[in-house]
Amino acid sequence: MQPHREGFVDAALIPVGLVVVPLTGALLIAATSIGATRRAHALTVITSGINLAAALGALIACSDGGVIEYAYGGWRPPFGIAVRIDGIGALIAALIAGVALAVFIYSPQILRVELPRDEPSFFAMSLLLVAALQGMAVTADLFNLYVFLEIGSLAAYTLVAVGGGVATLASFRYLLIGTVGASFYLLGVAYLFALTGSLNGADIAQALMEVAPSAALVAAVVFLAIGLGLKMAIFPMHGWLPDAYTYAPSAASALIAGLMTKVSALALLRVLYGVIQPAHRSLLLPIGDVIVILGCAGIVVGSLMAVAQRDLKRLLAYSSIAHLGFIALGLGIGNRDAVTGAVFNMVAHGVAKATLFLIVGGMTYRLGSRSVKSLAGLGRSMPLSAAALVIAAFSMIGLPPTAGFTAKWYLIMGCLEADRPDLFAVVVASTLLSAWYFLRLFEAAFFSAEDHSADEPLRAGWELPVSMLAPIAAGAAALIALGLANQTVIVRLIESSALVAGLARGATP
Amino acid sequence: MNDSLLPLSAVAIPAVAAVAVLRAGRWPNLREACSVSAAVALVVVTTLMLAELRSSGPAHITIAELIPGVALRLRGDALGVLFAVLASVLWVVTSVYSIGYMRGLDEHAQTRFYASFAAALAATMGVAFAANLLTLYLFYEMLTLATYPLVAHKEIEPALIASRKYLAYTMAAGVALLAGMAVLYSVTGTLEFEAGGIPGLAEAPAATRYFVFTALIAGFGVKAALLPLHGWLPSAMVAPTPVSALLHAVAVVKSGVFGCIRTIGFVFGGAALAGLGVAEALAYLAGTTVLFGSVVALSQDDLKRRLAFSTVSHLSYIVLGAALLTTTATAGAVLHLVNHALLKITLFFCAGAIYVTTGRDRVSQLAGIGRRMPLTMGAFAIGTLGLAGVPPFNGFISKWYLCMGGLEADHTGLVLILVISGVLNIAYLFPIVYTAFFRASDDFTEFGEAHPAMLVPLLLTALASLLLGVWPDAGPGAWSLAQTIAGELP
Repeated sequence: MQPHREGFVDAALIPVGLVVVPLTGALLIAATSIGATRRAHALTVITSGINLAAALGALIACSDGGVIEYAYGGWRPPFGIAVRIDGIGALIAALIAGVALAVFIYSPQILRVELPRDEPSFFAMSLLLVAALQGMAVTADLFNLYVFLEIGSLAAYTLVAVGGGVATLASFRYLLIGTVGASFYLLGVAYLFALTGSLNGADIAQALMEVAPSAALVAAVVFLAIGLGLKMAIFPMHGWLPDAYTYAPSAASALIAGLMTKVSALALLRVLYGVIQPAHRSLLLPIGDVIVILGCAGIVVGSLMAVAQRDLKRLLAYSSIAHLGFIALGLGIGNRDAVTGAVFNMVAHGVAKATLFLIVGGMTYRLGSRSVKSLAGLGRSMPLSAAALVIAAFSMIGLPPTAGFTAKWYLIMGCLEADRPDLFAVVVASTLLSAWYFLRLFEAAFFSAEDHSADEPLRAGWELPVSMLAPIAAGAAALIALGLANQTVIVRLIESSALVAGLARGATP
Repeated sequence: MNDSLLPLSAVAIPAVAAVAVLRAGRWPNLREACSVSAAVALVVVTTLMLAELRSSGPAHITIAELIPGVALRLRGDALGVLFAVLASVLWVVTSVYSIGYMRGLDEHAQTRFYASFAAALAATMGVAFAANLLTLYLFYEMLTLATYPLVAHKEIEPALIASRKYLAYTMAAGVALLAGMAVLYSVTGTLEFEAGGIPGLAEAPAATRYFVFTALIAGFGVKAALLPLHGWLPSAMVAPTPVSALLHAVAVVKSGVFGCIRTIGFVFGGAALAGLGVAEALAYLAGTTVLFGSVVALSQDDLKRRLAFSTVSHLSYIVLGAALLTTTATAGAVLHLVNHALLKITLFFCAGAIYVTTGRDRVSQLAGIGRRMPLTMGAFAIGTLGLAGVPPFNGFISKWYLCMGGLEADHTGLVLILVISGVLNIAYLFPIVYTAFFRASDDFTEFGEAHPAMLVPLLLTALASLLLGVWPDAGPGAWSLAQTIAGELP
């Protein structure tokens, strides 16, 4: 057990601020503020502000290989539930807290349109989701991860379902598939518990060193991978995602699309490279290969489906499937650069996709439509949103100097180091596919012959209200800042984490 | 040496101008003042960089490390400064010309036009001053996206189709560049340009060098309109003429050529290319393109398309010169980059002036036009003779050195191609001049010379071509710079 890092703040404050504070906030709103929208919103923003402060604290404390370890209630593992935050965990926690705060600042206006009178419930559920996601990002305990996974999923089902109409069906489908995924994951955890007698990740890893490769171990890993694969929508387990993203209320889409799948990807990373031992990996090699193939298939299928979409939210949903394919590909290749690229893409894609959903939400709010066609004249009617759209799209396509380029570059280097020209070709050529569907949007936004900008918009005025525009602008700015400062993030947070530092360079381990 | 703000301001001035133009959209005079004053300011900056280069070596600045060991970095070496001076000076002229052209035609969306134009110039400055392949790639992609609105400008179906075609070609080029760059980085661990080649590349396996060279040349070859990647350029002529003049004869296409020169001389160098045979292959491909462009130009009735195929041909003169790998040919290639820019911009300016004044855009409609617009057609004649390589016009000198370089490298076939193409140049351009002056007009519409805002720029560029023909080292000293550049490459 490594000691706490002293001297910054009491390390206990950070896990509490990350998980307990939003959980308390959610309960507080449910208990006191139903029907009091303003109070609920104020509580939500304050709560997620504290959450972000805790995440920033974690970033500082966990840079350059620092680790925060904490046991809830002072019960040390293997009996108690432990929190273990490394650089990667802190990075994802910051992503969650940042995106959540942006979405919460953004949401009051659009909620008034989409969910009149239900805003407090929305805030409560969203905070619950944030608490669960943070819990998943920082927990060291595999069963505890399952609990947070279920809490988060339940919150997400609700957030999708409140969209009404078709959303109910989409949510039910999400619930069915999500439950199957969670069950697979739980089965995998049960197998590992049977093999090692522990639920703590580090303990299991320790115990597995003594365990000979066996069918049970293979089953455990396969079940964990399927469960988390369903949750992160790896092709062909992505069926729930397009409908859920499309029919959820705009603010919920941004939150879920930006964050949910990334946290499952992080869990998959931890299982594959933190829990399973290198000695066993040769036995499990096909799993990495399978993930690689599914990742590639996801990139191609997701991108092609995105090209064919007319509804912007659906287009973004399919583009998510493609990008989760990138992440899966990086995790499957498993050398240091590929995994670094995958982790960086969790952040890059999380920010970019949340920003894009916020922009589409803004269009729905102001123009009353979110079809690709309704983009016509966006460059004139909503110039700043259109500019943010361009920046976020650059990041999604992977053009420098945005964050998306860095992620792609590391992934490409990972492919080359693993001596896989086939994967290299897929990743490089996929640029064209994503350029295809985003440039289609640009053409519609800036040059469409049928210009709707002269039509009476649903709401008058120039651009969106500041409270909606500022989070969008912050997202776009973050993408450029992350792209320019990527070496700081990668060297100090990702590569210095024991998990990534322990990975080999070069060919697949 | 300390970081210098000059290269950064060269990129920033047009970028800021683009934003200012958008903000000033409602007041056309203020908006055009933004363009022109930014262009003038840019010339000042590039001239200062030239002075800095001569006095204390290349000015440079490092902005942020984008991947381990490779930063977003700008550096004004001789080749970059030459290109930047050329583009910035011609931007001033084009800005004035654009005012006459766009107002003369009462074009729509002029704000977007001027803003994209300035953004394209910012990207071109970035291309010129990129100190490494990654920075070059970044600005090369930005250039694609900044010029896309200009091709799509008219928003009619042919313009949208041309713009999609342009994007398809250039995005595919970007992918090729990315692939070549990634493999290059994985072998050498650096992407920094080095006169004579990146150290360590010569020791890389031949297959790797072969892949990197092909990918990079394919990537840059699209904008340089190398056969068979040239298809977008004639289609892009649907753009307003100032775009064809500055971007599709100078900034954009020359960025492609510039990238080819960087690849040949500053990534590979003679040592890393030795024994691969790819440089020879490229020289012959360029030679084929030279002939192809000239032959196809013969049959084009649309004046701008005829000029576009001529551009296809002349861009390959430059690539050919660089691929020959001799000092003389390289100097000739760099000089031709400047000379062709001046000549072709003159010709496009003339085409635009004729179109605005008379509404004619076909070669077959130009009989007798020289009597009504003697100055315009006089400039056109200078452009024609210059491109054909007739002394004392500037095209002669660069072609002469290209031919000498070809003989030095013992490629008599390529020299023959250059000579034949010179004759074809006469064949596809001179009849226009001849019929304009010596055939009677077949209609009696009254019109006179073009508006001074168009006439003065085209006369200036024509005179500059003449001046550089008699005195190649005039102004910024293109000839001595070209020799410096060629001398740096072993």
